[in-house]
Amino acid sequence: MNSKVGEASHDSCYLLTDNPCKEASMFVPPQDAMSWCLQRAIPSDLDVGHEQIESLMTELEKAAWDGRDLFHVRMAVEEAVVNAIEHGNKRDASKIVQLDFRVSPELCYIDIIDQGEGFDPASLRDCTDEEFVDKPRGRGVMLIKELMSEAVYNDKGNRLTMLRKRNDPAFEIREEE
Amino acid sequence: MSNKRRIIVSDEGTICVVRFVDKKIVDSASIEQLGEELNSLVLVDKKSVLLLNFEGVEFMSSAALNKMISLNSKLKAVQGRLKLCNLRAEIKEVFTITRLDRVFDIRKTEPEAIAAFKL
Repeated sequence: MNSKVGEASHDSCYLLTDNPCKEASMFVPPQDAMSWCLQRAIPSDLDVGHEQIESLMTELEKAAWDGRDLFHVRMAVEEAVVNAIEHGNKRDASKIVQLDFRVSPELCYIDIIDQGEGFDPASLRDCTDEEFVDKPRGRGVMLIKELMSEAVYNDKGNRLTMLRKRNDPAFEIREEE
Repeated sequence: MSNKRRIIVSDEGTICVVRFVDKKIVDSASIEQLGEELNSLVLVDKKSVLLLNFEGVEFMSSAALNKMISLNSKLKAVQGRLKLCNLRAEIKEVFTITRLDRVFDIRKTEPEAIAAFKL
């Protein structure tokens, strides 16, 4: 493992699948082109998950990310890590979540794998439907897709790979609303 | 009024104004507690006109959003009224993306929201 900063705390069970994600068709930024990388397997513990998110946000700020870009990444990674621990691993202490975070001044790459049974994102109800808009749940995955430049689940649905470009023009229109 | 740790409550006439203690509403235990405290305003303290003032709130996750939705349902059940104000642009955008801006009455400032209750 070539992580510049992070070290897997559960090395023996670190590789849940091939790395980087070959199922996702998106561009995977090479580690040596990034200013910071963290690859780590964490227990299914939300506090530990939040510590990793804070590290990511700190590094994004160091790389001069701010405003909406920073907020959007925080929202997406928060939802993704919580989903992996709560819905994927169901907070099972014997299961881990594998994280791969990569930061540069222009790109943020996030890959999250849990050891759950997976799910079909297409099966989620549309939380914006009139019938469901005032019901709890179901917004996390939608926010992830709306706030990241790219977000892809693997076929099983236990791995989410996402990329956010800084100052991505795709997000400019919404800003004017 | 029952003791609150995640919110700060004050009365503006008949309107119960709620502010949030946490700048970032992400910790799952805190969110659960927040939900209980918001619900108890309606169920225990019998408040029916609520204004959530998001001044100082930098971030909230969808788990926190769910607590607002739950509060809204509880208020609806007692023919209560709920408004939100002072959302930073990024949080307002989250409400817009999820169409929750159609569920909640969102106003820019607290005086604007209080005036809107009197319409």
